[in-house]
Formats: sequence, structure tokens, C-alpha cells
Amino acid sequence: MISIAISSQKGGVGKTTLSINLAHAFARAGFNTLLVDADPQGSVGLSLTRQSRLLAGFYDYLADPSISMDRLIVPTRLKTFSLVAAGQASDYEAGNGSSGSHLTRVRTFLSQVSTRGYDICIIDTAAGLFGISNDIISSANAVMVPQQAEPLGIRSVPKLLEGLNRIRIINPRLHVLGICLTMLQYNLQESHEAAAALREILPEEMLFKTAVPRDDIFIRASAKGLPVAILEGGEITENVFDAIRDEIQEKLKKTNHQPFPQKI
Amino acid sequence: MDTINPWLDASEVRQLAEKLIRPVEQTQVDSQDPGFDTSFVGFVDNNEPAKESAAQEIPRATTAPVIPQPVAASPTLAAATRVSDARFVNLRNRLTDDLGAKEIFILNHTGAVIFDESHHGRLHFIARDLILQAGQPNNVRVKFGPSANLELIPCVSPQGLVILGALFPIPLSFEKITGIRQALSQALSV
Repeated sequence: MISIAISSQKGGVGKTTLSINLAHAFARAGFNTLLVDADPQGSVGLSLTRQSRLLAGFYDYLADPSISMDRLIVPTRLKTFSLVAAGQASDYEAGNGSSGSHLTRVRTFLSQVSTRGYDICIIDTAAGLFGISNDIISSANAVMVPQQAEPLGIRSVPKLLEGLNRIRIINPRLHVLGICLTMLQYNLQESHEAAAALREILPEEMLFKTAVPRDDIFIRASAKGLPVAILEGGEITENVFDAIRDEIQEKLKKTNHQPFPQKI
Repeated sequence: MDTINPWLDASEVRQLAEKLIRPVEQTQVDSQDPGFDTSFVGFVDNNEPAKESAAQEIPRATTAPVIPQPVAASPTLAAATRVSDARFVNLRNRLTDDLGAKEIFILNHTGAVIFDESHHGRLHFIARDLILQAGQPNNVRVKFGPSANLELIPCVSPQGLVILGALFPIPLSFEKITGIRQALSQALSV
């Protein structure tokens, strides 16, 4: 199994949108996929299941060793797509827990998930590279960073890279898949310039070729609690996430960092 | 590009990014290693094991009783529990004064003691075992009580893996652990 943390230094960059739709893209391609909501705001759960506020989830698992994995995994209509909600353990909502304090528990969680036959586990983390998000990245096989294509967001990139370098001391096997530009506005010069500046500065392999455009369809999808691919008119956006999925597979294959599981 | 470039040092950003692409250099750790080098001969155990048949009749002494001599600690362990090294005194003072650390010890990758104020040979053994179980250079925390947290901080040095252990009143933040690791690394390079 491959575990990929979707993480960023800044909030509001489209982590949840990327996590849901990328996980859905893997599941549609036949990979047995688990999407884990590790954002205390519980956005994945709120997007995909109406009962998410009642479900035991990831943070309950961290807080209570007696909670079994069976209680956490929620199947969806798509056979290859399951999810784990954030849960009810509200103590964590204020960001309690220093980095390292949940490392063992997070690793146990991933180890238990891997024994259940999942090919890929995508974890939507809270913003920031500290606390439990740090522990998740320190435990995952790979990390992918959505980055809003706008000037203010791009200026935070050095801090992000420093943070990831720090985490690689703890998790030297961490594969940094790279930065994926999100909310790209084709009709806005500043958005284009921000994206171009980043492409100029970063090594080619650190930036995904595919960018996620800003599109009303994401708001419509979250209103209905669905991945965009299921919505009418979502085909173009669906292609975007399929392309990102293909890039991830290619990156993992090229570096031979971790063999990617075979499709079901 | 004026909205971006004045805010970023392009060469610094590129360097940081390239570092993320390169593999991290790791010291190979042999997980089959029992935990100590060949000079380790065992722990001092003052508790005699219980007799298997306590109800057996005790034979009468036929000669003058022999007064048992106290068991001497093995020279290796005795030395191991009182090791000091001038390189680590500054680090020790900082840990004690700034963070309230106690029972500080430093082991090398074979489990041999480089510096020790803990006087607990078993603690060294557990420390090395926990770090090896972690499988890679991760720090490990064990809560001993309400204000006693054993922090084990591995550091990859040119001499191999070195482990610093100490009891702290509160769990250390990631930043503090990183700071200690850097200070240990500096002390080792002297």
C-alpha cells in the first residue's frame, strides 16, 4: 500500500478538494482506495457523508486505543472507494498535541489499513506542518502539496520547503511528490504570473505538470456532497484529476521509491 | 513577476527543493544487534532468585558459616554508569538549566556509553532497543509519570548513530528536539 499525505503550509489552498477528487480518480481506475480525513474541521466527511458528525473517525482512533478499524471505515457506492471521517474527538480541534506525540499511533493506523487490502491511502491533513499533520507526514510514504496559484500563496513556498526538509530528517523515506498548483485562474494575469514564477524557480520534478483550475463546479460538488466527476459537466475536471493520478504513478515508478500496487 | 520575485530568494528556494529530491543519507542499523558491544557482560542483579524448593530442609552447618561477600558490579557496568566527557558538558548544562533534564545519557550505535549521569544500565538497554525498534532515526518518547518523560533522541553522526536520552518534566516540542539533535551533532563533531 502507498500512503500519500495531502498537506500544505497554508490553509484554504484546496487540500480537501484535491484529496477527495484524487482519491476518487484512483478508485475509478480500479485501485482499492481509502480516503482519510485528518483535518479536525472534518471537511472530507462533511463533503461526502451527511452523518459524518456522528461517525467515529481518525481522531477517535488516536485518542482511544480500544476503537477498532472496523468502526472507522465507511464504504461508499463505489466499491473501491472507502473513507474514514475525522471523528468526534474534539480535544484535537484546537491543534492539541505536539509533533511526535501521536507518531506511534498514526503508524499503527497506517499499518492496520495496509493489512486490509488497500492499494492507496490518501490522507487529507490539517493546514500546517506541525502537530498531528507532522506525525502523519512523518509516517506516510509520500506527500503532495497543493499550492494556490496566487502571489501571497507562492511567497510561503520557502517556509513549506524548509518544513518538508525538517520532516525528512524524521522520515528519510518520505517521497516528496511535489507541489500541485490549485485554483489557477486562466483569466487572471497575477494567477498566471504566480504559476510561471514557481515553474521558473523550482526543479521540474518538484512541480506537477497538471494544475487544478478554479471552477464553480467544486462549489457545486461540495454542496451536493459528491466528487466533481459524478456531476454533470464534471468531465473536464475529472480529466484533471486523472492526469494528476497518472503523474503520481509515473513519479513513483520513475524513482522506484515504492512499487505502485497493481490494479484490481 | 514583480509580485513574486522580490519576495523570494530564487536560489535558496531551488536549493531547498533540490534537497527534497535527493535521498537522505542514512546510517545502516543492524536490527539483529543485541544492543551492546562485546565489553558488556550483564546487569548487576542484587535480588537473588527465589529458591525452587523453599520448603526443603536446610542442611545443618558442619563448619563455620561463610559470610557472603557483596557482589561486585562488573567493571564494565560500573564504568559505564559514571562516564563523563568534556565535549558534552555544555550540552548537559543547557538541557538541565533550560529544560529541567535529569538522568542524561549518551550511547553510541553499539550501545556503549559515551556520557552518563543516569546510573541506570537497564535504561540504556531499553533506550537502544526502543530506537532500534523505531526502525529509522526517529525520536521516541516514553511517559514514566506525571512529570517524567523519557525522550530518546537519535543523531546520525560521522561515527554512526548516537542516542541521547534524558528525563524531562514535560514532553519536548519538535523544535526543541531538533535543537537538541543539532547541539548533540555539534558536540560530536568537536
